Amino acid sequence: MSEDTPQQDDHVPALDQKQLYSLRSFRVLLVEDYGFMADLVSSMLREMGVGFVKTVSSAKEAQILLTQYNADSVPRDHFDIVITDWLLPEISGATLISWIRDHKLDSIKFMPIILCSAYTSEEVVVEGRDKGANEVMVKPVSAEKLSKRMLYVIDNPRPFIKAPSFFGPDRRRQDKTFPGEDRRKIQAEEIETNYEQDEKET
Amino acid sequence: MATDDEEQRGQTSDRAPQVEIFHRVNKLKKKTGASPDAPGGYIDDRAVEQAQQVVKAMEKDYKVEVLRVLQEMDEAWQFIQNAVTPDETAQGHQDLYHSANHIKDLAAMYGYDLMQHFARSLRDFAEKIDVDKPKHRVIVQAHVDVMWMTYNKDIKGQGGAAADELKEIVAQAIEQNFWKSE
Repeated sequence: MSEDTPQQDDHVPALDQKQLYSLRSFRVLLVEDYGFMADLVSSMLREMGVGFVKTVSSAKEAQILLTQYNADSVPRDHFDIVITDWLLPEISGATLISWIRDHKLDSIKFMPIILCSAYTSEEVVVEGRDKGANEVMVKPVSAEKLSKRMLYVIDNPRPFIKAPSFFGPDRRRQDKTFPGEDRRKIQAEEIETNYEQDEKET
Repeated sequence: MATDDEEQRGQTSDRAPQVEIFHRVNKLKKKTGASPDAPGGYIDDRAVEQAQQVVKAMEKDYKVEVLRVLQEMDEAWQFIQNAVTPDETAQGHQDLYHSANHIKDLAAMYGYDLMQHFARSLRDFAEKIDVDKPKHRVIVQAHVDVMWMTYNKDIKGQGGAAADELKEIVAQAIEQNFWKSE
């Protein structure tokens, strides 16, 4: 996971081959305790065409809404992406990410998460990645950064890894070669998920 | 089971790796209306530009918003100094920390570099404050004072010589009070 500039695959389609994405059906949950910033980012998302943006000011509220919408309601009402601030009162963004990744329901635990952080240190970026964030967006937020993060999450869905000490998007970038011996083996047994269409290697 | 260290290095061992990989259907891409097999897509440049216009449009609110948060910060600082119980002190610390952090974010968004500098410095120091140490109070007060000065003088960007002077005030407060008090 990069800190600010998404890394592109070697094979990047030409612009005229790319499709214009409509975000009208997207449902985004924005977790930001600072009202001014929440208004600003939610307005930006709407201008970009995101159909539904719900803003909450605490991780606790996010947990309640995710449980309500992604567990109890029909799939079309599920939130698709969580954008969360790192510094939140009471329950931090890091703890919220852990809660999401540890959740028993697939409709919550596999959610794409974009972490917003004012901290640019590698330590925070690595911690965000290790908690299971898909992407990190460094503040100050701009429309360009936000759209790049959204695009990267759409176009580069990394497989999820379940290891003894980690659950989250693959921390190895797909476009980077891993220098060591890959000990992640495909096994024959299938493990059931709530999504019939999911493919799974173990 | 492999240790974390072994996992990062990709080493093998006699123990079972216990790593599972989930390849999931790209539901987000489906929701965009694009075919899952289609090459990458893009968001309309005009929509992105309109989103950036939101940032510009809200710049007019910067002064009012910073004023509001500065006042909150003042209140938090007063609250800490008058706190009686550990819970009150902790609450005050948290409020001061978040106020400073909000000002930092706001200032960074609109290019008020000097305000961003002081707000970040105060936020970072807020975690270490011991109000029982008078020298710590001096440091916080120095931050609060220069942030008000920066606001009242409406200093944008780095602020030139005037900014250097304000930075020096805070630097000296820290140098003379924090390090010598430890």
